[in-house]
Amino acid sequence: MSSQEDGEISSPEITAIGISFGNSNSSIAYTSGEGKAEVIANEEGDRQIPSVLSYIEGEEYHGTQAKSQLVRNSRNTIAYFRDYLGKDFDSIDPTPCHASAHPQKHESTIAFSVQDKESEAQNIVTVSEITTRHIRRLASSASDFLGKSVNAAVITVPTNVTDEQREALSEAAKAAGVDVLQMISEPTAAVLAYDARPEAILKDKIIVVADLGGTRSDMAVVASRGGVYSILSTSHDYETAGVQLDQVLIDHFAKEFIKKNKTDPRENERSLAKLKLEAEATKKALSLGGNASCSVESLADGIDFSSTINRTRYELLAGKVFGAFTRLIEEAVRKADLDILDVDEVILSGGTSHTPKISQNLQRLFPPTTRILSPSTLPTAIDPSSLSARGAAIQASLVQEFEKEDIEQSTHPMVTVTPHLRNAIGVMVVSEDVQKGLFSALIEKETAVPCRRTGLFAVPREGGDVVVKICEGLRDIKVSKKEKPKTNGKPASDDSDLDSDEDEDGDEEIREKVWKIGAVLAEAAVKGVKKGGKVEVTIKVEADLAVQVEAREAGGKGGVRGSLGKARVAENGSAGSG
Amino acid sequence: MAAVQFSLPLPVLPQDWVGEKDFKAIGQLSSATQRNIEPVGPHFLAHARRVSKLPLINRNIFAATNSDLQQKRHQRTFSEDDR
Ligand SMILES: Nc1ncnc2c1ncn2[C@@H]1O[C@H](COP(=O)(O)OP(=O)(O)OP(=O)(O)O)[C@@H](O)[C@H]1O
Ligand SMILES: [Mg+2]
Repeated sequence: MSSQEDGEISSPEITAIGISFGNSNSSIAYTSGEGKAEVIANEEGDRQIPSVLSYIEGEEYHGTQAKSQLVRNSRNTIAYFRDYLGKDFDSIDPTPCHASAHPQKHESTIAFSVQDKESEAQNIVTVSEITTRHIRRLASSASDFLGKSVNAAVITVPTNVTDEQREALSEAAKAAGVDVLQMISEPTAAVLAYDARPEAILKDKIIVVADLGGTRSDMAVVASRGGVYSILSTSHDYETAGVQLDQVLIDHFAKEFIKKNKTDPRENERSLAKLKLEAEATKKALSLGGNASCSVESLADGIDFSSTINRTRYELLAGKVFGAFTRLIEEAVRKADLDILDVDEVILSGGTSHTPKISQNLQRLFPPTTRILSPSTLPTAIDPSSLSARGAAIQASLVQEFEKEDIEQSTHPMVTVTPHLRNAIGVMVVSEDVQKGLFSALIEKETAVPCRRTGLFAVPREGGDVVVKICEGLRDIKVSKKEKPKTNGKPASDDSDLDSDEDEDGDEEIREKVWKIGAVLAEAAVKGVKKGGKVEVTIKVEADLAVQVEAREAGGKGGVRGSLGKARVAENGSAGSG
Repeated sequence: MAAVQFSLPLPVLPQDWVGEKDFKAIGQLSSATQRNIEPVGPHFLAHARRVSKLPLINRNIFAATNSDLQQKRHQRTFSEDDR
């Protein structure tokens, strides 16, 4: 379909987009002339395009149209295949394909057997081939929208993708006429989507990206330091995601149906498929409104079904699943050797992140200072379903003018593996309690070197000679007990959550972040600072871990300079992309 | 990154403090941890340019959309010695 041919000699104009390719949905995005990432709607008007293809008498259906074929034509409908790409048949979980074409072993790969031509014959379509067809449809929708042929992309992948999977994806895309400029990790794409907004402020922060999808939930804890991202921990869960929430509603409505009609719609394949599609729609409606209906024509035994459910009821029924999401996030933070109090932002990504209750539970888990970026907790949040694709589109616009070799070279471990600071580096200041110094962090831990930060420090009221004492700081969590007041204003029913972790009648714990002073690194004297003056301190850590210190009166000349010898680089960090 | 302001004052220099050229090296940084940085975003590109031979392409996508303040910031960040 693309006019580009492999091995073309003169380099053609590159039109690159961002693609997020999920097991459930895919999205395409581009970066406009003004540098803004925009999600592209396909011909049907969908921005979340189901990663589904279906065949009827040789005709190929894609996206929402294909997904609706799960009811009538499930055996010729291929869905939930992304995670099979580049895998061995023996290592996959075929469960998600229970109600569509089944994956089967085919030579060294995985394939589906479908009637994809006009003839009655069953054809073997490998997972690579179906991925190619899917990407071809995505690229064609993007080409139609942009009015020029899309021939390159940045595609997002989960953090636990293997080299074989990358290779397979790259080849499948290539066969669709799409050159993969770079594969970037899904959580990093989400962070980039937020950081590229005009109002974003460049700040050092710890971000948890919770990507809650349809068949899996992926967690990543990211240190963002001067706009450079390092993943501190990752975790994956295939039992807590959107389909588990669908199931809650399927079970609920099925029970209602049984009560009236004595038939279980879950026992008939087609009835179940119908109910599943409707239950998912009901679930989505419950993210927006307090009530939602569920209607299925001829659900089972020719009997129509129609019902409504309110959000409170749904939240009660799904309480266990919601609690599991909270725990996944808690565990990810722990796995990164961090505390809940260390987290500055939680980015909720993926379709399931539209669910208000999930973000409300996180608001309770994290301190009020942690920003929960989701539609129901922040009016300016970006649509969580689109974060990956947007991030990919931004990256595409950043790299599309480079030679492929240059991109490859710059993403090589020689460039990306870097020493990260083990402890924060900062300056001692005087606290209200004059006896005790207080540590003020200038460079946070987990900052990749080389790095440089500058701070402006106040001086005693009369000015004069001051000492700049540079130390390492170790974050500590101080726990103190506070007698819990007898009445806490909240109605009792508000405390009914299953995931409530407060001890009902114990003392309330107060946890706070404090700094412990670590190694003292250096001291510098800044003399004769004028009344009301400020001292500017710059700490620079070189690539070889040598430290340079500069301190002077702000606006003044000269100042003090000094340096420290190199530190050692120790063992590898635990997380990486594994 | 912009300078951070700290409102609590620096301590007074003790009378008996001595240091050559007003500086005294005392300790050493703790050992560092090797980690992967994500090869994503404009700030990574600035890093890659310093470490590898990535050519400088004079184009800053962020600057096009962002406010004046942000424009300045990113242009500065794109300069080779920011981090
Ligand atoms: N508004 C909404 N409210 C609640 N859930 C939603 C909403 N929109 C989409 N979802 C759910 O999000 C899930 C799909 O999420 P997403 O598109 O991020 O998945 P994916 O990354 O393609 O999937 P997978 O996890 O299977 O790889 C589905 O379960 C869908 O029902
Ligand atoms: Mg996903």
